[in-house]
Amino acid sequence: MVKCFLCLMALVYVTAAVPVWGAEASCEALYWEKKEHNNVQCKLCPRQCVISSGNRGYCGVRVNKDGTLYTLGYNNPVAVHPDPIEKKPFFHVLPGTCALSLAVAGCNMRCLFCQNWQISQSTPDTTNNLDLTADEVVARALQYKCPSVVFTYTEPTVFYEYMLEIAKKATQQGLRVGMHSCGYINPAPLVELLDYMDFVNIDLKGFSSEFYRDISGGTELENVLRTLEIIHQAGVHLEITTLLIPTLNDSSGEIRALSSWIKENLGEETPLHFSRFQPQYKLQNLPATPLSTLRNAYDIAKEVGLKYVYIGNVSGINEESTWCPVCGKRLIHRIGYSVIENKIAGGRCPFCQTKIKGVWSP
Amino acid sequence: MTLLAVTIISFGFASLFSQSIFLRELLVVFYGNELSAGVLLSSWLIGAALGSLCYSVLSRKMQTTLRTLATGLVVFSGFVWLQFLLIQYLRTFFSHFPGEIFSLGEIVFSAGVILLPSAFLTGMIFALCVELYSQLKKENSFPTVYALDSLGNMAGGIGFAFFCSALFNSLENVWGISLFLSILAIIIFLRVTKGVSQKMIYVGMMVFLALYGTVAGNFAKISSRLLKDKWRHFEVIDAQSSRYGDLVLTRNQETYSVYQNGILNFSYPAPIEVEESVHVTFSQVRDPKRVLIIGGGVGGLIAEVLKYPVEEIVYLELDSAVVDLVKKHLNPADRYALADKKVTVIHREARDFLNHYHGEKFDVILMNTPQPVSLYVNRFYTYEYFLKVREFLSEKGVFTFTLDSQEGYFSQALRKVDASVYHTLKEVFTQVELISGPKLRFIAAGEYASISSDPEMLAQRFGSLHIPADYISPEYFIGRIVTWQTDYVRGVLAAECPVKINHDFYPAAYYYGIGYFVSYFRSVFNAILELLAKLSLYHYGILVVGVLLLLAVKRKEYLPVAGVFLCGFAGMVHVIVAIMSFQIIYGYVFTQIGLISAVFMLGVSIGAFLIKRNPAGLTRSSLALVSSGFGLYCFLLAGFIGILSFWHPFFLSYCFFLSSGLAGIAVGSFFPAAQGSFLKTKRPGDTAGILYGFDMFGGACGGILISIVFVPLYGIINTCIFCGILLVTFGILSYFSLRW
Repeated sequence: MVKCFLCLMALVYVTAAVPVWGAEASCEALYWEKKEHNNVQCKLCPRQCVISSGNRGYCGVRVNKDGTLYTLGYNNPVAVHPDPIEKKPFFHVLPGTCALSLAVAGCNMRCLFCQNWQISQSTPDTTNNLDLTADEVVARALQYKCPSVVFTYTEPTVFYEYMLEIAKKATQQGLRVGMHSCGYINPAPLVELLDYMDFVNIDLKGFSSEFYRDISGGTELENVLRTLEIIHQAGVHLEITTLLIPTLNDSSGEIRALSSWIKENLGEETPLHFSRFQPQYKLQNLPATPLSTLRNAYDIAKEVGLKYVYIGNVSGINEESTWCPVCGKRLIHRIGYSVIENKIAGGRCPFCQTKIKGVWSP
Repeated sequence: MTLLAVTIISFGFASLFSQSIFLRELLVVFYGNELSAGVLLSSWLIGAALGSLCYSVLSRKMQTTLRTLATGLVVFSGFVWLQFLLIQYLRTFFSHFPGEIFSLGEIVFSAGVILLPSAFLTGMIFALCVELYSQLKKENSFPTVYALDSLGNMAGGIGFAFFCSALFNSLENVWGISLFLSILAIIIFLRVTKGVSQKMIYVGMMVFLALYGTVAGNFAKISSRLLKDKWRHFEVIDAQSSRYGDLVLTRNQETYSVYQNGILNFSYPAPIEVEESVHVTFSQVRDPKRVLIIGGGVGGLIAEVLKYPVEEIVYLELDSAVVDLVKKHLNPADRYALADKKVTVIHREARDFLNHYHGEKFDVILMNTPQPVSLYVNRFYTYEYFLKVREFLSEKGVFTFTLDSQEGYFSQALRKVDASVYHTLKEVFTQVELISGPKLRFIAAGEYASISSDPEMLAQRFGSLHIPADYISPEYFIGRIVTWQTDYVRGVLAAECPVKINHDFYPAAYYYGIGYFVSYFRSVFNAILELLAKLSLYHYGILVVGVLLLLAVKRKEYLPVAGVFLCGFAGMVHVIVAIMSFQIIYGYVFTQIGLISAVFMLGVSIGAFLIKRNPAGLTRSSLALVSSGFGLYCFLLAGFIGILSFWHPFFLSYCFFLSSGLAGIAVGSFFPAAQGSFLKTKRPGDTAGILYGFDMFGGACGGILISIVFVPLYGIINTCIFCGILLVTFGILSYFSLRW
């Protein structure tokens, strides 16, 4: 009986542990180098995984098949929805429109508080996917009358090749392209990608090395800051989201430092979203962020000099609307993901003609 | 002899008492569902099994004296403190962040490290007691020791659950039980030593009592320090123990959070969530007069409901300590709301309340219960429970609750939980609406109600009510409720898929809930659950019967050992099934649930005494008789539960005590009967060690398999029948193997 049980356990373990990719790993990956003994080094993100033959990188999406790096995240999105663009969140991009939102399972971080953990902490070979080529994605965006395609929910970096191809084809068709990313990507692939990006939202998850190292799976803050600077220098519209988690990254000092850095390095017009944490994933025993913490962060960022600060994941408050930084009038009235009223005309405040930073026309 | 008998009872008391403390303490640290509870209980039982088996191997090399026993008690007493401290600093040891849950691997590892040593010692001490008692009585005293130990267990269970858990905190309980064991050990030492050694013991006793006195004098300080360390990063405002568990109130800015047994129960004030919950619900029903709130009403919900011209609010909160704890830190408006004459706070569980309710029907039933990741909570999402709710819902009334959701993508694991509940709800209610959001709101009603998820309509209804709110407005409905998103979620849940309806005695949603919990971790457990779902009872039956046949043909002498394993398994089946069925039918009534376990232990004790009276007659035929009797009892239990599922007058609830007593007697008599027919040449302690070990292994397997696999996958009745078939098969095999 003991032997039977052991055999059963071994079978279960083998079934679960053996990497299954087969035909899915048909697309050769970009940004990698061949190493000795059939090993390869992935150069896509700062982890720079050295992967031996038959194994995967940290993200679980890129696999070494006989000395060549392939990606599992190609033509197989796990989610494709027309979503309100405010949900991404993009508050300075085509307000009130829907964006064809696309994700492939996987992520190169392991955040304990991940809101989309069901897909971001999976791999493409373990989720129920669609079979959709880049052309079909673009056709779907046109069919749904979405003026933009956005890569979101999971970490777009891990399906870089698919994203790049869709971005190129969507741009050819006159669609706007954006992504919401954790910003953990190397400069070279980022620069190539930005040629086809109209807007980007980066999660700046905290402003301490410890936070990134301990809560987000051993990553480095400096790499994310470098990504932000590159996007800013490339002139691509940039918004930033910071999820405020009680006791972990919500101190006034950290918020002030984060806001000051944004102002000095990315400009005072960079929209900053303070998002409310809800008990999630592995931090489900931590209470939701108090509204006062979010409002305190909002006040600090404003005090530092940022012009467009928002509070997210909280509906029915003034801080989710866009206000003119000069005359103080409400320009876009939002509740949740919906735009109740949009007064911006030609990218300017209709009351004082101040230019409002953003992507306002399709 | 008397001293030894008292020691055995006392040790039985102390072992179960300390086990209860640590299970409760560990469940506070871990995520407290059946999976972690099963792992903890099984670790304890496996530890005890290994201990008694180890004794049977080492007994000839060990001194079998009262002094050894006293030394064992002192070591156990030390373990109690060590375990307690380890648990307090477990989170620090794993460098976990506040609110971070433990992975299954960490739970298994911690349970092993913390519980195994003392459980191991429990098993060894039991076998040692059998040997000592047998030497003194000059006869095989296994049944007597087993009976005395069971009596002690019963007293320990009752003592902790009914008195000490509510009266004292964990530190005080640990102090008390450790002191009790040490005094017992000192008495034994004094009895067996003389001269200088005795004087040394007196000196040691003085030092020891001074130490305990010092700890007792600093209870408040030490408790506060331990609480602070255990809840580092949190600002702990208040802590309280009730018989339902440990309560801790923390504060972050203006937000208070109530933790019940380590799990975040609710936070307050949460004005946006409260307003949304109340106004979305009340926009579904015209002119509601009578409202039933099930849980979570104390943090502002009642005050919000009182904005409507309702006539009566009944608020159910099982644990009065929750209300007492929160009341002290409520804003005045919410405190007044609780004292409003329209509000009745009842400290009863919902199923118990509905079973006895004879008043007018409710226009709104607002339920705030967690995900069905435990059998206890699953009872609020079953077909039978929904029928009960419908019975007490007025013609145009609405019933609402929320579950976890994902707006962009539903994983298979989450989809199964929500879809099972959705389809179950649709079986009972004519109308079911969904409102998508961070939490998925289910709204159910009969055919005459006019519920809707259309934001325009809800906005118009809410606007016409002119209810003052800080965050919710007619525009809020339009902005917040995204129609196509709700349609997407409905599409996902309504899609043709093999999800089962969630029944009381077939808790499918609970199994899906366990799968959802396991999916948090990238572990092999996901694959195991998938695999187990593919197996049927036939597979298990063939495996067990095959092993029994093999033993009957090849190793007859080990057949009783297999029987004891089955008996331990069946005993655990009975305890879990009886408690679960009682909770399902009559609601969670703490005293009666506790009594079911106590009566079972009493039965075990009586069973062992009964067998003891006729040790000469202990043969394999008596073993076959007891086994088949226990098997037939399992069939009767299945029939009894079957009857109860559609006819359950209150007087039948007493049958649970009777059945527990009978099951206990079967287990109690089985064990010594097996000993009587097993390896008569061995020393009593050796035999006891082996059999006690396999009894514990059986219990451990039962603890995990029954609550996590058998009951949810095959249903309670089938599980009982399966168990009955195994026991009868064993009875027949053991009877015929005697003739061969």
